[in-house]
Amino acid sequence: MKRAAETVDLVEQKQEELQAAEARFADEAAMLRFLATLGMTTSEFSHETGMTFDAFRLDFKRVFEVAAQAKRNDRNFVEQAERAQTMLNRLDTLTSYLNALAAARSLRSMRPVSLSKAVERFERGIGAQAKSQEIDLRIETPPYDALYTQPMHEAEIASILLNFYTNSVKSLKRSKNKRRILVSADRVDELDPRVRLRFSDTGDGIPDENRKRIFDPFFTTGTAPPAGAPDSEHATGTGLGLWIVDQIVANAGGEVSLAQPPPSYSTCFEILLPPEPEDD
Amino acid sequence: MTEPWWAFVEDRPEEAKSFAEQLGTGQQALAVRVVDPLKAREALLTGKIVPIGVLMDVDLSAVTGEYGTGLGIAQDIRGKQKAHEIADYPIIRLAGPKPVEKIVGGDPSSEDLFDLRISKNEVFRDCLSVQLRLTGVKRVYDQLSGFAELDDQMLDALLGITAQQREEWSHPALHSRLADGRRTTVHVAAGTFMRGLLLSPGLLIDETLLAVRLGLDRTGSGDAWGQLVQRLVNFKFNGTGHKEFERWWARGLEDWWLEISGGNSLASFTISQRHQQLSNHFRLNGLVPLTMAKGSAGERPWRLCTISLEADEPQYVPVDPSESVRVTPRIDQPPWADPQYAALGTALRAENDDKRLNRSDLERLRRKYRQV
Repeated sequence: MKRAAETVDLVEQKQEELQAAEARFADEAAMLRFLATLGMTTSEFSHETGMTFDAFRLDFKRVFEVAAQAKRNDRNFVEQAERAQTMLNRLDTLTSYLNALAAARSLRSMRPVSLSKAVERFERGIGAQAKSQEIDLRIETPPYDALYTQPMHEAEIASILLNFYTNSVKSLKRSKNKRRILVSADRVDELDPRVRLRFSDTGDGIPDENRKRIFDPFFTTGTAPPAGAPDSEHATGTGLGLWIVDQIVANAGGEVSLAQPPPSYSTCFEILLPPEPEDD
Repeated sequence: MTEPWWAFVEDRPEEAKSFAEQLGTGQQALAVRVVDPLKAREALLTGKIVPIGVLMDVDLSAVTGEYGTGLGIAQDIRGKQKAHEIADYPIIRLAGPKPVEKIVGGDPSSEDLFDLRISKNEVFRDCLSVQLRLTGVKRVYDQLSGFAELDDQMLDALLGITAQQREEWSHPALHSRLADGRRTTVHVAAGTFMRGLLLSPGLLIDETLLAVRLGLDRTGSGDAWGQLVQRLVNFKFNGTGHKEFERWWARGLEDWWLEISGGNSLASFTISQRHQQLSNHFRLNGLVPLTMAKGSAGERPWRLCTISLEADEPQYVPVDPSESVRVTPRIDQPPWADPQYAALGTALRAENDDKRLNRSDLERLRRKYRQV
């Protein structure tokens, strides 16, 4: 009798575990569906708005020129108009990068991705935006090593960089440090040919108690602020960014971790990815 | 009498008007009218409208009932022009990078349809340059239309050179192709003149490439560069379109260098030697030597990286051919055109996507520069 009761308990326990696992997988599947839909919508939006945005830029430029000429003695107006133009230029650079990312996302095939190229593109795409936030964004890539990874989706590296970047901006805004970001790509060493991406910033750092949880889904250090809240309060997130990074890296057979930052930096994310096998 | 105008065949009229109006502003303003693709097809192919030229988008799918592309309309216009059923005028591809990549990317079959290929983004970035190129291509068509046949004298007028310079600086295959093209129809000769001569480095080089071959940083040299260029008039291109397409005869430059350097070829000099030679010869202060871009090896720059030029916003990366990767063009180049190269760093970053890169060059140079 006792043995039968134990067996029933065991079965019930396993059933509960199974239900919990099913619920977890259902959550993850729902989240993946949501992210996939978001990606497709973004891509479609980018495609449909491309020319409209181009045309808007042209019209805005003319409107700005005529208005600035007509009200050239109105200092406040000129300042306002110049500010609007600067913001449009910033938006332009950023949307160009996001459009390129959306276009790459539509490519289904996986292939080796050049880490060097991805980092250089990131700098070209985000540099102006970073500058507008008074962030000194620097990159370090080897001139004659493309640092190819094993086959991945091309947009994945860009997503990782963008995730790190948005986190860094929040962290930099919370801190009073001089705002700097350093993105470097290289190989680990001669014995370990894995390709390495390091993303460092001078933000307010990650507290010790959070270091183990930052890659968990929905882990975040704050809640979304009201629309009118000051800039620093907007420095919060959904808690999905680093989880996505972790998923991408794990799927590619790599590792992501917090590493010892370079001197004068406070945080460093390090990603190690298996390299494309060399022919020789 | 109405002012002559360019027809912009585009499927989104509101957006197209923005581009048309932008092209209609400034000192080089052009009259541009937006034409719906369905109307354009009929009106252009029947000769009901005769524009200065056609600006053609490639993706026309936003119009109900339009199943074709700009390439198709352009091809039909060319056919009618060849049959002399409608007037010969330039056709310019004016499209965004994404539709071009989708419809044309990697397929060279429409390369010779268009006299110029302009990205819509260029209208925003540098409208004056776009306007000048459009004016220039019209000038080429006007000039060629004025010649029923191209004999040597007319060739010299077209190219802006003397008979002796034609022998020394130009190429007989270009002359044959121009004469043969003109006998066929204006747009065939114009295509050779535009794509083969003015737009492809070979016989002619533009100011960027001139600076590269002289081993100088054009921007960094500031006024000194302007002063230097003014002294290089003897081999400056004075042919048709020279006001809009500023060019220099490449062999004229090399001949001149042989004279000033005691018979040594320009290509054999390193950047610092070229800089030294020029500074001494002209006694000019302020000339700044060129710095090779990161990822571009060597110290004898001669060409520009083909792959970097293909970006929607082209990057001008000087390359030393002996330390660069050969690129096989998608269409055969005329014998007078420069061979194409890619900077090693750029080629390594593109190698999985670009089968035009010479694999043996890549491997040889990869080994050589592996530790850098």
